[in-house]
Amino acid sequence: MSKRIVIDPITRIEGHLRIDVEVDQGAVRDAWSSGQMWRGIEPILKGRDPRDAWLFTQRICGVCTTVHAITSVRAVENALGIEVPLNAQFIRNIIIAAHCLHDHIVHFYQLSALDWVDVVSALKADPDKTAALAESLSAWPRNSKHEMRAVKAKLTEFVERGQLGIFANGYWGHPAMKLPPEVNLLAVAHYLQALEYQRIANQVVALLGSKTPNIQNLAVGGVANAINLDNPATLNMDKLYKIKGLLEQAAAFVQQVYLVDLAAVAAMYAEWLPYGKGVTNYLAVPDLPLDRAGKVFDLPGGTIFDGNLSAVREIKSFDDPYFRDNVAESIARAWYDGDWERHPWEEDTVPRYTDYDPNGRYSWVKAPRFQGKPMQVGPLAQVLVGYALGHEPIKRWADLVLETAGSLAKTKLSPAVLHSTLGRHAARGIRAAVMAELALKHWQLLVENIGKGDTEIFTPWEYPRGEIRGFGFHEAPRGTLSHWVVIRDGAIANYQAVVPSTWNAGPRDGKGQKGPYEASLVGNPIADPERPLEVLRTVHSFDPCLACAIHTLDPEGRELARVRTL
Amino acid sequence: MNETAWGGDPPGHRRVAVVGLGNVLLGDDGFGPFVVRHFEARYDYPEWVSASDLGTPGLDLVPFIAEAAALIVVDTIQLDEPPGTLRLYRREHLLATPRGQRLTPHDPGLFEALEMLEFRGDGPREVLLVGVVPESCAPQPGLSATARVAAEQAVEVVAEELRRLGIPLSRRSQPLEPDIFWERPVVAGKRTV
Repeated sequence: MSKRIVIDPITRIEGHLRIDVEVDQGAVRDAWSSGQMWRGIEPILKGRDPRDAWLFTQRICGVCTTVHAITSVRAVENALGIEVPLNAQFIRNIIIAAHCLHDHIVHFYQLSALDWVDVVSALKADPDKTAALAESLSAWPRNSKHEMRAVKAKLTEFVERGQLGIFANGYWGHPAMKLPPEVNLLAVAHYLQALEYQRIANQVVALLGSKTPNIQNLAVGGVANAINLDNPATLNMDKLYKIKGLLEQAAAFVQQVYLVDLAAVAAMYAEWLPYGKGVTNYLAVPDLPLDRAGKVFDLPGGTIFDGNLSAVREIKSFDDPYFRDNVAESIARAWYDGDWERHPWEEDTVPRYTDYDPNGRYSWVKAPRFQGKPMQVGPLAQVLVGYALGHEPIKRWADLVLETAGSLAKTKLSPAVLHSTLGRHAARGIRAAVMAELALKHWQLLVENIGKGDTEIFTPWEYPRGEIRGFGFHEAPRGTLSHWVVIRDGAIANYQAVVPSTWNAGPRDGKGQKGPYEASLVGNPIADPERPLEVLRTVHSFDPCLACAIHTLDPEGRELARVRTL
Repeated sequence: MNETAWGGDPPGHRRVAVVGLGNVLLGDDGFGPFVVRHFEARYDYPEWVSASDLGTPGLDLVPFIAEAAALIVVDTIQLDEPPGTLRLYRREHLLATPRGQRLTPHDPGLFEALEMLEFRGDGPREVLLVGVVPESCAPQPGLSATARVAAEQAVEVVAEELRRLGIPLSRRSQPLEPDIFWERPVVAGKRTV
């Protein structure tokens, strides 16, 4: 008999992501993903000056501030038809890359590794054996016996005090936890180190953005980072070399720790490789522009349908009609007034809440579609598009991860295994390694360009009379983000943000096609319906971000989320 | 706003951090940012005290509080009390608060950040959460009249806590204009640069 499981973070005012799965004979038969909170940016921005839009959009979500700021200025620049000085592109690119390193590291270690790592089991580990194992996998200097003994002592003390603290929500001892104690201890050690390195990456964002979260250095038309190599108050050589040093440290952590851990986890959970595939249509946009106009990029974008890498189609510029004309959102199954599938410029946002009805409307999230099809976005989409297009760094790092994981699992792994829950994690690590390389490349490009005597950071512009329309995109850590703006006589007439988690967490559309979360859950094993760890593994692999727009604390400690089996 | 935040040079002192949490687009959820911006407009304080509107940073809170010896957080809280009620919590209470199921990885926030640092063996020893019960967190920027009254009190609670911590603090003779950009009126019509 089938059983319905509901995972619902019930409080935090409106709630956020809710997942319902129907389980039968130990596997998920059907799934529904629901965003439990409305966040319409359009009514807030209507009538405002488009120059201010990025200040507001970076407040949509507290974790994704930088990405909304960047995308918003790109959308307004696109509407105005202006180019951006090279220095501004490179400064933005370094911020993008550093933010991405920070975000990917946090996602793996702090936010999802504990779905796979049993912290309590680490108490049984032999720290000397852990160090020996780690040193056989990587040259990272902080894998010593001394380090592993210290981490184990700290963990033991923590548990003995009855204070599992941050680890208290884990599914310790769950039958789906498979890592040996030594690997668990190694992961806990790297969990702690990751806190330092994510911060190092984020310091770059703060140095260039003057603050993070919520960077302050952007402007429609460029950046506000005055460049004068001899002036201590501006962007100068001293700051630039500090940035380089920070990027090198973050790059080393990604290459020597993050990627190795990913390969080890994937190898030891090889039975998970067939799970979590779901929607195999992929969408990524190009990023890290190398020119003023946004026609040449260091990161590739494009589409793949039905997992067919040989039919990849590239998205080539900030103005590519292939992207512009093919995005639409459906509200057929979402709590809005009407029943349409519309282009973002033509949308209106009229909320109309009705009850949660899995056969009718059940989410605040709209269902974005590309040429009418659901698309998976995120690092996996970009890695697959890059792999299909023969992008050298993506191919090199992807092959290395597949080879390392394959040799640990004593099997040969092809890129096809990436269409999976574990594949999404692997792709995030691959993308982090590529980004670390490109961050340093764009640092070099910036320094060389300044060296030529170019200190331009801003393109002056004016609003034209009448109506103009623009779109801006950015390949954010969670995937393709696009902002769509209609400007009438210098004021915002319409503004829509189509965010990565909308692509992935969206509900069914008018044709009944499931969204990527929903499709990826079907077929997942469920060992214990009361503790649906496997559902969390697959949902977390997308790096969902619906939760951050509102976050009222509950210091009285009432139930914040629950699992119900019906 | 101390714009160097933790991105600048390492300070000689262990820092004291005043942080406002909340989403400024969602009514009273912008209480924390509002209070912090008013505090910094009204008071003069040493450069090793930072006052930051951090929005809703999730775990991005960690770097701010990792370096701080003392932390003051202003935020909205969920409590069965009338809107505008202020309630203060200390570190021990926050660390003892039970956690729920994480569904999205961005659920973690203040409690989890404190615990992570506790596990690492550092983080602020002195923590004060200044919480307010919100009236409305509907998607519309701007505080309710009730929250505005509470914000006046909260600014003084922050100042009082800093004095208790021994921080030299003085009221500005000429208060600055706080930058509450999200409450700027919508000016429609044609503009050119």
